[in-house]
Amino acid sequence: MLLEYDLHEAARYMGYKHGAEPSEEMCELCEKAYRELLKVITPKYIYKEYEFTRTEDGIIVDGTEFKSKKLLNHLRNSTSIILFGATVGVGADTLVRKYSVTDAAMTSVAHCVGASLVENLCDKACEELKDIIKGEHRPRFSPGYGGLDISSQEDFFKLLPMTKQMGVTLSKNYLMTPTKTVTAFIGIIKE
Amino acid sequence: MTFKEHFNNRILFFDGAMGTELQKNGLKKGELPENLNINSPEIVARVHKSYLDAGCSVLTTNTFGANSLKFQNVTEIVTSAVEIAKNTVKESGKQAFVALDLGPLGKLLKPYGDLEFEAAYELYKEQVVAGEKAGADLILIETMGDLYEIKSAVLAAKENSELPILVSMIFDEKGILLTGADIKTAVITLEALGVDGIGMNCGLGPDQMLELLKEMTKYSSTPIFIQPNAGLPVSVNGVTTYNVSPQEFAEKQLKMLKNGACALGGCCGTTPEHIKAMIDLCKNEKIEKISEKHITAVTSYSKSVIFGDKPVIIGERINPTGKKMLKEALRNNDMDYIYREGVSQADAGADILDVNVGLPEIDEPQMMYNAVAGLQSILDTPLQIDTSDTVAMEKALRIYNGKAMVNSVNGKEKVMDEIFPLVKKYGGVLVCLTLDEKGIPETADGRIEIAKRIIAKAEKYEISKESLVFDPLCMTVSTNKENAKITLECIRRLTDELGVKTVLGVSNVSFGLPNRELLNSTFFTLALQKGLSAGIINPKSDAMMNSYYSFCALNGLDGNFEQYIENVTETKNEVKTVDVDLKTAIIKGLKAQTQELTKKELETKTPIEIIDSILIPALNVVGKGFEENTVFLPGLLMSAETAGVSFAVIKEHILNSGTQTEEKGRILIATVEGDIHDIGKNIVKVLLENYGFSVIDMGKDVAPERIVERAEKEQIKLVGLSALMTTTVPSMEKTIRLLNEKCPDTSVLVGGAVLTEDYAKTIGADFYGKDAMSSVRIAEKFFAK
Repeated sequence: MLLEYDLHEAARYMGYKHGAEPSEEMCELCEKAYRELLKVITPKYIYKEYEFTRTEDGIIVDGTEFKSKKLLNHLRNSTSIILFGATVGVGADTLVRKYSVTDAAMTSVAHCVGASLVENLCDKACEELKDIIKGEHRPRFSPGYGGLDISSQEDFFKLLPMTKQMGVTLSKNYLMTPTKTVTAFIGIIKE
Repeated sequence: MTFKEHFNNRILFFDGAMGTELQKNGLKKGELPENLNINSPEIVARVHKSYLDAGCSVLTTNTFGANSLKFQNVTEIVTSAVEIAKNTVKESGKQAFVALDLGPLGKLLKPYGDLEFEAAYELYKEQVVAGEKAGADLILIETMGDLYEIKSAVLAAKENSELPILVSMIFDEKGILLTGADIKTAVITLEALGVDGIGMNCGLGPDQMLELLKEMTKYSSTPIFIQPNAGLPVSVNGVTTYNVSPQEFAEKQLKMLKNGACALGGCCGTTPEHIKAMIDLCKNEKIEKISEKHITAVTSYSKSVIFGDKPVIIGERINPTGKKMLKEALRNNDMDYIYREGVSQADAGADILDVNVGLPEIDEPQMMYNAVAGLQSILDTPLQIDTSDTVAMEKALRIYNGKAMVNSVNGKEKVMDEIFPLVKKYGGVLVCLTLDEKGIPETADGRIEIAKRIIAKAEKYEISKESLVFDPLCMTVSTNKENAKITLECIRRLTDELGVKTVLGVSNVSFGLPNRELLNSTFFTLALQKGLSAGIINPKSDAMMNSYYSFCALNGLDGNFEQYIENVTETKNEVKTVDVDLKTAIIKGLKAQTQELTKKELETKTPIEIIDSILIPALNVVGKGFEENTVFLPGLLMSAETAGVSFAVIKEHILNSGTQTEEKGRILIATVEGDIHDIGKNIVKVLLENYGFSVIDMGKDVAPERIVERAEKEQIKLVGLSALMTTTVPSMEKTIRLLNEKCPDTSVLVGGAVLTEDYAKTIGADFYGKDAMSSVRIAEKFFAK
C-alpha cells in the first residue's frame, strides 16, 4: 500500500492558519520528509468486528464499558462495531528523533507529514474494510476524543491485539508507541 | 542426557498452542491464563498431558506473560507452572524436558517506548531465578519482536542461571522484526549473545516460514527450531481461525527438517492433533548438524555489516584527539554535537561509527553510556566502542543494541585477560592491535607473531577468530621510509596466512609531511589492494572516499557503478551563489551559504558585532512574522537553524582566538515526568540557543527530583518545563512545588498544548509561554533585569 500525504493537512499540523499556502521551499521540505519517511515506515493495520450494547452514557463491547455520550450518539443507528488500529511503525519515530538533533525544521516537517501519512493509512485501510464488512461505515471515533477518556485505551488494547500483532504498546499515561498510531471505533449500519 | 546433548543431535519436538488449548479445557473468557497455575493446575496439567501423549520431547510452561508488570506473585506462578509440567512428565513415565517460557513484556523499551533496559532485565531475572529453582531444564524466550528486549532477557538468563537458552522470534512476511531487524541481523546478534538455539514462531504459517528458514540457515551456525502457526489467521464472523489441517501441517514441517531445522513445534492454531501428526511423520528422519558459517559481522538494532563482502568504512570523527570543538562539546556535555557528528558521517557513507569520548577531566563511563544510548536511538549504523577504560567499555557493551565492534585489545597479557571476558559475555568483533609489552615490532614477522598469540589466547576464552579483526598498525613514513611497506606486508600475511580480517587507522602514515590527504588516500588504496577489510577514516574527506569508491568500482564491488556515479563524478559542495548578505540568508533560511557568509563578516567585524547587528535583528524579523502569522513554525525553525550555523562558525572563531564571550543567561529545560513528547521542548531549545542563551536540556520524562537537583547544582535562575498531556500536568505542578521549596530564587516558565495562562498560574508557574517565540521574549525580559 503506497501511502500519500496531504500537503494542506500537514501544513495545518505545522500551524499554518487561515488557509495560508506553504511556500515552494516548504513544499520541498515536505517532499524530502515524505521520501525519507517512505524508506522507514512499515504500515500495518488490524481490526475486529464486535457486537455491542448501549448503556445510558456509553457502550459495552464484550463486557467492557466505554463511557462517552458522544460515542453513543455517534453509533446511534449502528448494528455492530469495528475496533480498528493502524500504525506506520517505529521507523517514523526514529527519523523524527534523528532530525531533532540535526535539523529542527525537518523535525517539525517530518512529524507533521508522518501524521498525515497515518491518516492516509487509516483512510485507505477503511476503504478496504468496506469491501470486507458490508454495510454503511460511520466515520472513525478515537479514544481520547469526544469525551471518551484516554484511559479507555487500556480496555481497547484488551479487545484488539495491538501489541502482539503490531508491536504497539501503551505508556503509563496511555500514550501509544510508535507515536504515529491511531486507534478508533467504526460503527457499522447493516441493512 | 542433558538438553544440550540432545539438541541438534536428534530431532526434538516442542508442544503446540497453549492459550487456545487452555480455553478448550476450561479457561474462562477474560481470565489470565497464567493464573491457572495457581487456581486450576489440573487444567494446565491436562494440556501438558495431551502434548506428551502426542509424543512431545519438550513441554513449555504456562508462563508467557508471567512478569511483574502484570502479576504481583511472579515467583509463585512460575514455580507452580514449572512443577505442574515436571509432575506431568513424571506421572506419565515418559521422557521430556521442561522449558521455562518467557514472552515479551508488553512494553516497548526505550528509545521506542518508556521501559528502561535494566528494568526489562530485572523483570526477566525474577522469572529466570524462580524457573531454574523450580527445576526447569531450559529457558525458551519466544515470540520476540525486538532485539533489544531479547538482549535484556538473554542477559537475565545468562547471568542468573546455568540453563540452555533458546530464543524464538516473530517475523513478518518479509522476514522483518517489529523494530526493523532482518533475519541476517537477528541471527548475527543472537549468536553474539551466545544463545544455544535460534528459532521462529507465531505470526506466520509454515509456508511463509519455510522461505525465512532458508535465509536463516545461510547465516546461522546455531541450531534452528521452528514453531509456525497453523497457517495465517482468517477472521470468520469475528472469530479468528487457522486453516492448516494436522496432516498438512505435518507435511510442511517435514520440509523444515529437510531445510535445516533440528527441532519442531507449533504456535497459534496448532493442537495436540497437529503435533501428533507432525511427530508421527518426522520422528524417523535423520538430521545433520548445522555447519559453521565463519562470518565476521557487527550489527545495530536493524542492520548488519559483514566484513569481507566489500571494504568497510569506519568513521573516525567521534574522537577528541586533536579536535577542539569536540573536546569543548564533551566538557559541556553537549551530546547533540556528538550525535550530529554521527549523523553527518553516516550520511557521508560510514558503515560503522567509532565512538571515543575519553578526556581526562570527564566521567568517561557515563559519557560513553550517553553517547552510545543517544547514537543508537537515532542511527541504524553499528558502533565501534573505542576506549581503554574497561568500566566504560562494559557499560557501553551492556546497553549496546546489537553486536558491537570493540576497540581494542593487544598482545599484552593483562589487557587480554581484561578484554576477552567482556567480549565473550556481550559478544562483539574485537579490534586486535599487533603490539605487546615490548611495543610495536619493527618487522612484519614480529607483528604476525603477536597476532598468532592473540588468536591462541582468544581460543582459550572460547572466542573464535571470526570475532577478531587485526590492526597491524602504521607509523609515519617520515621517520622510516619502510613503515608503509611493513604494514602492507602485514595486511597481506594476516589475510593470506592467518585467514583473518584486518582494519587500519590510515592517516598516521603521512604524519609530518605536506598534502597528507594525497598520501593517505593513496596508501588506503594500496592497503585495500592487499586485502584490507576495513579502514578507520574520515568519511567526510572526499579524497579518502574517492579512493574507496574507485577501488570498489575497479574491483567489481559496485554493481553498475551506482555508488561511483552518485558520489564521485558529480561535483560536490556545489553552492548556488545567489548574491545575498548574511541577514537575508538567515531570514530566508539559506543554510548552505551561511558558513561562508559568516566567515566573510568575521574578516571585518567582531563576533559580538555580528551577533548584535546581524543575527539577532534577522531572527527578530522572522520572530515578528511568526507572531503576526505571516511566518509559520518550520520557517521560524529554518531561520533559527541557519542562525545556528552562523553561531557555530563564530563560536569556533572565538575558541581558536581564545577570547571569552558574555553569556546572555542559562536556562534549564525539560519535559516533565510521565510525558514522552519533546518536540515542543526541542523547538524552544533551538530558538533559545540561537538567540544566544545557554540551554541545559534534561530531555523528556524527567523526575521532579532530578530537575531540582540539577537546578541547585548549576545555580539556575530560570527553568522551562513542558507538558503535552493533561495527565502529566500534576507532575509539572509537583516539580514547581519542589523547585519553590529548594530553590526559592528560581523562576519557572511553563508551556505545552494543554496549558493556558490561567492554568499556568494555578499550578504556581511564574511565566507562561504560549509558543516558542514567546518563550524567547520571556527569557529576554527575564535576563535583561
